[in-house]
Amino acid sequence: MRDWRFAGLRVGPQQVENLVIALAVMAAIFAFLAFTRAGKAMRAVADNPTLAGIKGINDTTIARTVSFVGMGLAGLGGMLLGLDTTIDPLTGFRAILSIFAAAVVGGLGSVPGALVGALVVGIGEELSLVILSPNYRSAVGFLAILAVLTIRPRGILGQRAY
Amino acid sequence: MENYLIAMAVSAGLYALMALGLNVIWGMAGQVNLGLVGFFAVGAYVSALLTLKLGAPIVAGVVAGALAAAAVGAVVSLVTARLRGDYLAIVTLGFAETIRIVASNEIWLTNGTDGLSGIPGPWRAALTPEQFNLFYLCLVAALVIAAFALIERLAHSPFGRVLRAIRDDEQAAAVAGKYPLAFKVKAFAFGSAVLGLSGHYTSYIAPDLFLPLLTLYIKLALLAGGVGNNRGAVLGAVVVVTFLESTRFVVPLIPGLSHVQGAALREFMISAALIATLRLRPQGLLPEARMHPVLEKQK
Repeated sequence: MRDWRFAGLRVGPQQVENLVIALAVMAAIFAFLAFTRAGKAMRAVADNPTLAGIKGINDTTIARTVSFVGMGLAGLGGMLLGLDTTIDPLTGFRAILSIFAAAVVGGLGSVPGALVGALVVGIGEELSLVILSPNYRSAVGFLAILAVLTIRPRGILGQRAY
Repeated sequence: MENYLIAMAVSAGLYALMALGLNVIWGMAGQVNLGLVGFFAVGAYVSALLTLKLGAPIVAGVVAGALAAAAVGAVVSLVTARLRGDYLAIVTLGFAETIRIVASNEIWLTNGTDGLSGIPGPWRAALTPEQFNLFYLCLVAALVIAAFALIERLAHSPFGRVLRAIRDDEQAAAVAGKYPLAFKVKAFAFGSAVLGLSGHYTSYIAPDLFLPLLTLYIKLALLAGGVGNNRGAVLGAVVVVTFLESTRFVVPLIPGLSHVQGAALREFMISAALIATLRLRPQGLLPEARMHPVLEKQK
C-alpha cells in the first residue's frame, strides 16, 4: 500500500496500524487497572503493600503478574517499533531514556499520564533538533526528567511521587 | 603472564574502590544508583582534563575529580531525595548516559569518541613500564586500604548508624530527630567522591570505557560480596574480576564458537552468575553484620 498524504504530511498504513494497536492496548490496560478486581489489587499494592497485605492481597503474586504484563507490553512496543523502523540488538537501549522520561513526565502510575508524557517527550525531542545537534536527542529526555522532578515531581497526571 | 596478573590485580583494586563507594550509597544509605559509571566518568574526565590540558599536578587532578563527582552526586540526589527510590534509579541511569553522550560529542573538550590519551601517571617517566605497573598496583592497594579503613570507620560512627536507620525506616529516623534529606545527600556525595577518585586510573580514556556494563559489574561485585559489608565489597570485587577473567579462558575451550559468540557467551555467564547470586545467596558471601547487641543475642 502507498503512503497517504494530507496537509503536507505523509503517513504510512503501518504507522496508522501501530497507532490503532497502541491506543487499543492502552485503553484496555486503563480499563483493566481501573475497573477489574485484579487491577485494583495491583494499584493497592503499588500504593501501600503492607495495607494491601492486611486485606489479603498476595503481593508476590501481584508482582509476578505485573512483571508478566509489563514485560509483555514492552515486547509489544518493541514489535511495533520494529514494524515501523528497523531493529538491532541495541534498539531497546537507545529508547530507554526516552521511555523513562515519558513515564516520569506523564507521572508514574498513570496510564493517561504515560500517553501524555510520551507525546510531550517525543515532540520535545524532535523540536530540540532546532537548537541542539541530533546527537543530544536522548539527553533531552534526561533534561525533561530533571525539569519535571524539580518543578512538579508527580508529573503531569500522576498522583504523588514521594 | 606477570604483567597480566598485575593488570588483573589493578582492575580488582579499582573495582574494590568503586564497590566501596557504592556500598556507602547503596549498602549503607539504601539508595539505588544505576549510573555509578557516570560518576566514575566525571572523575576520570575532570582529572584527565586538568592534568593533561592545564598541566595540574596529578594529586590535584585526582582530588578535583573526586570533588567534581561528589558535587554532581549531591545535585543528582538532591533532585530526587524527597521522592520514591525508583526516581533516583531513573535519574542516575539517565545521568550516566547523558555524561557519555556529552563526552562523545563535545569534541573541543573531550576529543569525542577518539578519547584522551597521554594522561600523566605518577612517576611514569622515572620508572620502567614493569616497575610502573608494580608501583601502580601498590598505589591502588594503598588507596583501597585507606578507603576501606575510612568507610569502615564511617559505618561504625553515629553517621553510619543514622544512614542505616534511614535505609531501614526513613519515617522512624525522621521521628527520632534526624533529617533524612541531609544524610542521604551527604552519603550519596561521599560515595560519588570515592567513585570519582577511582577515575584517574589509566593513561587513556574514551566514552567507550564508561558503558553501563561497568555499573553492572560493580553492582555484581557488591551483591556477591554482601551489600552493606565493606569486607564483602572488597572480596566481591576480587571474585568478580577473577570470574570475568576466568571466563576469558573457559570460552575458547568450547568448540565451534566464533569470537563474537564467545564474547556474548561471557556476558551470558555473567548474567547467569548475577541471577544465581540473587537466587541462592542474596545476602552475599559476607552478609552485613547486625551491629545491635540485643538482636545479636536473639539470633
